[in-house]
Amino acid sequence: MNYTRPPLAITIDPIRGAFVDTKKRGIKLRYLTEITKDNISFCKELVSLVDELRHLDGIKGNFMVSESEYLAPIILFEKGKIASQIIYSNQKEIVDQHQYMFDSLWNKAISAQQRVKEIEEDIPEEEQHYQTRFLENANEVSEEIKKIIDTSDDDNWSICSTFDGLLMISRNEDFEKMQERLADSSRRGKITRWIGTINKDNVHLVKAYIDLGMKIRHINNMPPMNFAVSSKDLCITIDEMKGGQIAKNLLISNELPYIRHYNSIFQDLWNKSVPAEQKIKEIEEGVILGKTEVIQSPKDIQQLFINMVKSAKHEVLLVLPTINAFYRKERIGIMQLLKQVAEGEHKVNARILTPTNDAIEQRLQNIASGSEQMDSQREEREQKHQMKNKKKSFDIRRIDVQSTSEDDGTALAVAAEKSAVTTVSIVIVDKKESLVIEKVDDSKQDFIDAVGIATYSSSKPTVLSYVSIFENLWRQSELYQQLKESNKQLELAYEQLKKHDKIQKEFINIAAHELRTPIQPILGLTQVIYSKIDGDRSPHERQKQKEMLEVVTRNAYRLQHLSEDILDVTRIESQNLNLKLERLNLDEIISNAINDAKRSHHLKNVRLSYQRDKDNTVFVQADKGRLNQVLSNLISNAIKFTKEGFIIITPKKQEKENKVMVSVKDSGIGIHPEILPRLFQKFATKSYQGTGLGLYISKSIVEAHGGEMWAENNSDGKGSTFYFTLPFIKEKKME
Amino acid sequence: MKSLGYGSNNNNKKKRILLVDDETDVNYTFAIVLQDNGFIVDTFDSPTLALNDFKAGLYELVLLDIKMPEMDGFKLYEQMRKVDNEFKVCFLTASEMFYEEYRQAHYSTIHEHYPIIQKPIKNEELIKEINEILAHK
Repeated sequence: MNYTRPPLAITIDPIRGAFVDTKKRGIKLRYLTEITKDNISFCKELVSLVDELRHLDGIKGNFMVSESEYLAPIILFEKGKIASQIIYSNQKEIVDQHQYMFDSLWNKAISAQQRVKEIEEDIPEEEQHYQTRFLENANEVSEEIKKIIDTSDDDNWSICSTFDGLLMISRNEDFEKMQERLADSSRRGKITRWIGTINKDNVHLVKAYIDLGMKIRHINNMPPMNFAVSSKDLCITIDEMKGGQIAKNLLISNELPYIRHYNSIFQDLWNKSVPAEQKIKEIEEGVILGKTEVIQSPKDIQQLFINMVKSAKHEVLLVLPTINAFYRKERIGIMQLLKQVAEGEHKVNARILTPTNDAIEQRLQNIASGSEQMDSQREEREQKHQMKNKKKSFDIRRIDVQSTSEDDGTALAVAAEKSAVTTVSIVIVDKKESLVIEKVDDSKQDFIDAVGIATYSSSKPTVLSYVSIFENLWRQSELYQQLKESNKQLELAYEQLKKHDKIQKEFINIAAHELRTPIQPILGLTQVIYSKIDGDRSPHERQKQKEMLEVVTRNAYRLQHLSEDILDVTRIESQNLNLKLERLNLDEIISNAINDAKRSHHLKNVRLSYQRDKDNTVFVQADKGRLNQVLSNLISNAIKFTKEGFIIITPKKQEKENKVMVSVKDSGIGIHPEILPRLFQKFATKSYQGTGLGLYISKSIVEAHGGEMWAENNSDGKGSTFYFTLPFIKEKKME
Repeated sequence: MKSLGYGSNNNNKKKRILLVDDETDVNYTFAIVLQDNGFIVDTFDSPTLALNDFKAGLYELVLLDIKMPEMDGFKLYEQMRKVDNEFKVCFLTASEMFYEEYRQAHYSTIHEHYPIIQKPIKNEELIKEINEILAHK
């Protein structure tokens, strides 16, 4: 029924009665009309009379149909009047036809509630009748597009479509208006935006539309459907519109949630895309567009690898993960190829990072030297300069993958390299293309058998990332090489030190031999002569001869003593004071030293005593001869400077510090204040006898045992005390 | 010749000692001291000549300086052992420090415990040491 009918159905009783009656009989009543502001109150009443009421815009004419009858009033638009004439049929075909027609219209209609709401809430016309439709017929699609173009001149359109879509609206005469409108609307500040994949085939079209005021941007990966969206309408097609043909299907919707959704999709794409102008420039200036792809076929990977290296104009960077990877690459001729491009017209700079072994080193040497064509001397110099960043056209650095290293620094560098380079080969050409090859089985000799998939990229960000990875590894390997180099030099220095040490030992040996040997005949023969002094001479003469021989003997001993001291100093200063350590009872050593001193000195007014701690037997780990030397030295010094009084030797265990402290205290003249600060230095003596080496040697011996030595003048102003400490052996440990 | 009397040799038969040291004066001194104490002493200042004249069963004791030209004391000892397996040996040295290292490095066959006399040595100590070595079975 058209919009004039609902008031009749309510106000004219017979019609109303008929509706009520029909309903009572349980007949289902569907009423389709155009609900307007004017008839809305009637329609609301009508809702209670019929089973369902629906709205459709602009219904023309009226008809009723049941399962067996068709009835249509002839007067169509006279308000408030029942038609005086009607068309009636019970012909099955006519009834069926109109039943079909009704159902079609019914399906297109919206519910009365929705329409009532629209009117009552005063929703603007353009937002009314939300609906989503699907057209599956090229003609319908064409009509619809024409309609959209006709009615949407005041809207901003956003289109994401292949440029076949653009071609479609260019080729189709029906859409000529589009171009006029486009130009016209852009003059009025309305913007049409289009996103698509621009290539050299559609670049002219793109440019033409840019000239018409369309804003166009480029993306590489198009969504799987083409769509156009404004603030009111959405059109989507999955048709590719190849060659500009009319799309064979079209989904149209004016429902706001869809429209908002597609607008936001469009905005995302717009943000990701690049301006057409930039892309056009790239195409027209022959710049190859970045792409990233996965290559599955090992054969293709190998071919691509070779082609990439061949095409290099400036630089090839290569990272190999394993020694076997090196062999595989060499087998397919990559190394030779690199050499060729390095020597070729472009003088390509080839750099390789690879783990090596001796065999590979040798091959690399051959390749590298061949490419530089230099004599061996120059090459050697060149290699020395390598560390100083000298540019080479063919340069190889070693990635060390040894897992064991004693040197901490080296181990660190190795670890870093190990974690940085994993299992892929990386090749980068001219900073423009990268190929990352995964290996699946490193044990395979053949490239094709060992290789898994590869990722090729000419996309700038990806390739530059690989370049930076390479450069970092390169620098790292340089640092590692430097580390290795300095280790080598350290070893060399150590060797020299060892050599120096050997020379010093030899010197001491010769010096010892030369200083000691002459003393033997002097002492030995003096003694022989002494015992054979002629009995025929007078006792006085015999005494005089004996005195003279005693002088010779005494001085020979002095010379011997000096020789031994000088040898000791030489040993100490060349760190050759070797100790024969053994477990010693300190009591025994001290007692022996005291007894020796008593035997060799005539102690008249001096009491030399040992204050031993009988409860505490101390054992030390020491060189017997050296320890005796220290004690003898301290005791004879004390005797030398003590005319009368006492000399007391006292050991004292210092449990806390695991040390025993031995003191040699005398009542002599004390240490001269001038000497005290440099008492333990060489040649520190105020005495006219003695070399001034004894205390220096003694202190060094004690320190070599892990002890200390010092001295002080006694607090009572008489004499001095010398102290030294030695670590003692814990008896518990010994048990 | 009158004995000096340092632990003098009481055996009726005089014992024969071979002394090899390139230091002639040391040789001379030791020879006098040993002869004075009742030993028969043959001295050589060349190890080569000493080896040439060396005969089995002649010497009770051989005193060898370690550091000598032509042939060191250890080498000479090895050669002499090929001739005579009975004599006792004692080495002499003025350069005490490294002989053991040296011996180990060059003469791994000489592993027995051998006596060494450090020069210079007092006459009475020399005789004492030698008597001890000779008394040792």
